[in-house]
Amino acid sequence: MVSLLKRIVGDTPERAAEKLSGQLVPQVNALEDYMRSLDGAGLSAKTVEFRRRLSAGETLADLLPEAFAVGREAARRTLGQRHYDVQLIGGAVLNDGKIAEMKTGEGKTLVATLPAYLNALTGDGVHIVTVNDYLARRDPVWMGPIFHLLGLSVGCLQHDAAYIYDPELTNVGKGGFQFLAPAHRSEAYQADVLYGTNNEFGFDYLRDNMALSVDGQVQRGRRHFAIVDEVDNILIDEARTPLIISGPAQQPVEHYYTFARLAPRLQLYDDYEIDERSQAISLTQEGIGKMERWTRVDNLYDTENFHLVQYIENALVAQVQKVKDKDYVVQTGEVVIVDEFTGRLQSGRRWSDGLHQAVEAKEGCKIQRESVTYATITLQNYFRMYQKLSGMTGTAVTEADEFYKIYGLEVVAVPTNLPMVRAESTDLIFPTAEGKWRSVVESIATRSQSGQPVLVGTTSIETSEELSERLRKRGVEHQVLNARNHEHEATIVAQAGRAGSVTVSTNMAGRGTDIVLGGSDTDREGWQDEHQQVVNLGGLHVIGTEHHEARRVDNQLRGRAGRQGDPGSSQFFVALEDELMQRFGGDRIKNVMSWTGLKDDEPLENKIITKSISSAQVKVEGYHFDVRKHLLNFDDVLNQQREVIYTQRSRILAGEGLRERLLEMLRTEFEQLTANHLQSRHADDWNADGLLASLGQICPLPTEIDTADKNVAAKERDLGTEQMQTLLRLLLLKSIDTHWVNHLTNMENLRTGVGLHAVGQRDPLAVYRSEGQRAFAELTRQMQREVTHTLFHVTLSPEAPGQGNSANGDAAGSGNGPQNNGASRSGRRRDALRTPVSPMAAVNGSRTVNAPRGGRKIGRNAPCPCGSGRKYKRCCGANV
Amino acid sequence: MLAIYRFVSHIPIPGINTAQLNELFENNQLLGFLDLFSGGALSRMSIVALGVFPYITASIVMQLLTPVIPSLQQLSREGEAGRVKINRMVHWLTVPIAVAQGFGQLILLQQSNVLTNVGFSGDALLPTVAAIISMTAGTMFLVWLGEMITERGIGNGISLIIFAGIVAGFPGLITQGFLDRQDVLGIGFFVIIGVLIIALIVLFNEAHRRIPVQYGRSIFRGGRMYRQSGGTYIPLSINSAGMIPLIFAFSIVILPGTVATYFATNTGAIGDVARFFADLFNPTSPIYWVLVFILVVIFTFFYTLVVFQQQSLSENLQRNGGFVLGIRPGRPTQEYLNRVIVRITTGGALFLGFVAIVPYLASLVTDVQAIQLSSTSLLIMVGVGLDTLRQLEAQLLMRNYEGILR
Repeated sequence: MVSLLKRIVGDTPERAAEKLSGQLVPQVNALEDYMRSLDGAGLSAKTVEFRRRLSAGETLADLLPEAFAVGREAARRTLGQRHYDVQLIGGAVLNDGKIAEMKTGEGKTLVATLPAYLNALTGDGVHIVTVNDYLARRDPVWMGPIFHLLGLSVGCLQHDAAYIYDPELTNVGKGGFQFLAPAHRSEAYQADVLYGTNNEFGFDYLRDNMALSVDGQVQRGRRHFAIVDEVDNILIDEARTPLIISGPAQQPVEHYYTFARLAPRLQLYDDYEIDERSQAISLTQEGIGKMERWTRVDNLYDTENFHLVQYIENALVAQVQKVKDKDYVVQTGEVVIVDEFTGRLQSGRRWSDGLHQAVEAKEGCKIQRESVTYATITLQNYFRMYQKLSGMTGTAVTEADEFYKIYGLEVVAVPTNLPMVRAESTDLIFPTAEGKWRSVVESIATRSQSGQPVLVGTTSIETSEELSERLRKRGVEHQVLNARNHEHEATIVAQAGRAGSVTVSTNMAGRGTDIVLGGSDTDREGWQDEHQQVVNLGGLHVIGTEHHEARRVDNQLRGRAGRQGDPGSSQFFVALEDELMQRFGGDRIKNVMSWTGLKDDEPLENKIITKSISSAQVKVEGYHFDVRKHLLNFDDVLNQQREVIYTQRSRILAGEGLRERLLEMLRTEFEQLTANHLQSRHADDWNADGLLASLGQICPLPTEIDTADKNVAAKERDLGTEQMQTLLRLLLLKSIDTHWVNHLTNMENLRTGVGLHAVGQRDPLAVYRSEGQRAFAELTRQMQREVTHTLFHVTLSPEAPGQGNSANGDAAGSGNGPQNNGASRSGRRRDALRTPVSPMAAVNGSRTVNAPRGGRKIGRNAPCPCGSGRKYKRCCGANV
Repeated sequence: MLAIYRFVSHIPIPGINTAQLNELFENNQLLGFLDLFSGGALSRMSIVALGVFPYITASIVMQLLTPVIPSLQQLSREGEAGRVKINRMVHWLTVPIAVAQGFGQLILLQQSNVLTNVGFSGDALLPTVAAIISMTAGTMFLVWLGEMITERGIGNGISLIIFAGIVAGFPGLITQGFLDRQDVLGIGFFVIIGVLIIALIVLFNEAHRRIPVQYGRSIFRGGRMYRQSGGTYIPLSINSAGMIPLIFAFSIVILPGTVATYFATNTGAIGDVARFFADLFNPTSPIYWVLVFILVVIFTFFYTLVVFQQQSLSENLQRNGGFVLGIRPGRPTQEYLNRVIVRITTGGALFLGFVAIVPYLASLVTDVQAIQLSSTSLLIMVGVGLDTLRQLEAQLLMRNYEGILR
């Protein structure tokens, strides 16, 4: 019955994988002997042959079996690693634009080479997206030989550099990497296969759309194919934080310190309340009263004072909800966010809307300036631009729904090479946290004495250190892995599988770490014996000390055990005092527990409770999915506008028909002005003087509509055609950029407030759409106005370096009145833009480029990015 | 979708005498009212005779219960997941209501001799159960249809279905009016009144008081500290209750009269009392109008306040970091908003009451009885029409982006 249903419904994930293994694998295997008979040149000749056949009209699907066979053979020769059959299946799933769920240790990196090779044959470039810079550097070096043998180039994107794989390069200087030759970013983008993090790809896209000349752009126009590693992390967890390129804005900072001092004096329940589900904090009447007394203000919510409210709320959130060593760490006087899902430090990322500053004030750090958004995109919308998108991860099935609904990605579970043997015990549930920790310590001690390696997962840096302290007192030797000592990560992980080793880790040891039983230095003498010993003891044992909100994160931790057919086991210890239990349905379980009358460290092992925990997790996951989907609905509106603006911007960059556009803009502007002033039907009421005055602002009188052409021609004569082109281009770009930035802010504010329309029984989304459209129309009109009014008042003066510095530094560009400094400093701009710095800085003479993720800080003595050639501290950075 | 609905509404349930049925409907207020919601399906006694009315009843019941029952209240605050759950409850609730209403209607029809054989014994059992089941199924089908429209298309599917039903009945009504009466002047007058009322309804439907809301967060954005774009206000609608008070009021007012009519044929005291009530609640009597007016006003207040409390606006506002300038969040804001809503609802309630009785006044003046220009249907039409228009506009705008370079 069930199978019948399945047949009707269509391919289930299992069936899709079965089908592939039935058809594809024999085909590839049949080609294996032939491929082995070829020499190196013969293999790389295959690439040429495939490319020829592609241009002759064959499709990628036709080439798939052969290309996979070639890729497999190349891997065998260069790395000595031959793709398993299941890895072929994984590769085919990726090539289909789906998500391949592959367990830990199944060799995802190797799998990706096959579809990457196949799709790179078209010459449009394949992007392999990794979670961090380290992997983006490791993988091309590791997999580079395969592609090199087959005659494809491999690129690597880093935070502030780019490389091309070069097998000859073994001797590198300080700071360089073996086999990676430094290259310009745009060269890296020309590579057939490019490795990089999602942030780099996204930010490059945004920066490209801020570039002032084609030379400043690095990406190719088309986004052909992307393989996203750890796809659930990138497309789901990370997708909650949009990429933002921002610059500084002026805000007073004293308030932060004031309220950071006051916030600890407020009491929970008396002065403020926390909503359980949304975790939102709100002040009570008493709290407001106290604040008003302390700040000597009559009414905080009055027109003069309301700007203080946000400082108070931020200070309170910083005080109460942002916990040091859990949510952030303080490093060299800076507040650095710790990623909730991976436990890693996220330097460069900042909380928005003043929260980060509030935390800085709380910790007594130097407060960095508020920022204004220059460009933004969500990862969802960035990745949806790819013609074909695929991904791989160990945990996708729980999120299959979201992948399908948002990205149209199906999830296919790829079978493991060897059957997985991991014993998963039901949770042990304790009434109190104290009891839980005591039992955890005991359990660790017993296991490690027997020689079995143990990996303990904790949810925060703080708890990992507390547990470490307990273990020390108990006399258990162990290693701690958290964001504080991440430089030792590789060594700790390498040893984690050795007999008797105990590793306490945050979520860092979840995703992507590969723990080899007996230690990862497999060439070592006696490794075989130790490996066997550990296997006999039951392999790695994973202990989870708290459930995470998302099941995926739990599963990632569990997945460290039972790698590649090794034995392994896992168990979670849970206390009713855990955050998740308190927030969701803890009371009911607590009642049950109190009936049973258990003592603190007597655990309850109960399937029903375990189930209710995972149903609580499903609830939270659903909640977050809704939030993300909601956000995306709204972001779609902005996305559409962004596409329009960016397309037009790139057309201007390319210099297409600039003059015609300008003339048309002039014409419409004249028409609109005329219509405004001559509204009345009676000639007597016409405001002819007003009209003439307005027109006079545009260009010297006498002006008639048909002389606009002549004026433009005259201007062109003065400047020379090429200069005119440059002027026009810069003028248009500048106007797009400043107004677009304003528009982004407006749209953000609109989004905050639009939810209120639900009260009036109107769909907020519909209101947002129409209001957004109105704002966009206004944006267009303002741009037109600015360009037409500026054109005849500016000239290009390449030899006036000082002028740019007098720019007022108003990064947002208030948009009132003509701003001609942008156009007047164009001579140097192209040089300035060769470096991948936000061009906004160059346009407006603003102070820093501060991309929250991936932006780089400018040293005080470094040359100023505005291109003036002065030191930063003397130029734009003078007031920082 | 709507075509399917219109088609289905012409499938009759088994064992109905159509001719007698029509006759009945011309003489009965309550049924006429119900017919409105089923879009003429009731007077044809089709399988969707009940229309989406049971669903509407169910959702109103749920809405009124939500503030009363704590567990429901909690669900309603759980966001999307909770809403889904409540929605499912509404669906379940619809079934028994549909069954009850279906049965009630069969009884009603039996009493007017359209149907024979209603009951749960012997021969009557099978046809009765079949009729009830088919009617319930028909209702659920419509609800599903409506939800499909909501999901795939534009606007609220359920209201669209009601809307379609009303509009579909229009041509019939108008031709009927013209054929019955040669009084062109009267009809012209009537049409003018109709247009005026519609204009009035549009006006009041759209009228709202804007309470400006300030978000602390927004001052951190952009260089311009105090500028806010136009969208940040609470639109408190004058008529936030919509047509629901009208439905309530009419249902209550019609009921005693209808019941009384059945007993009016009795002799003796019961008959006298019944006749008295029947006269009192006769739609042509001024007492009836006054009663309708008063009830509508009361219900408007009642419903608006219930719904308003439920939204716990001030709490949500505070949680999102918003506040009304000059007024503290929490209780003071709540009190302020309540004061405003009471004040503007006064106007709204009087307006609704007026709209409710204006058709009667109109037919009194023009003497055109045939056209029952129901205020409720007008209200629904205007509401749904405007909503759909807005949705369409937003959709169209999405396709109509051009930058500065055309």
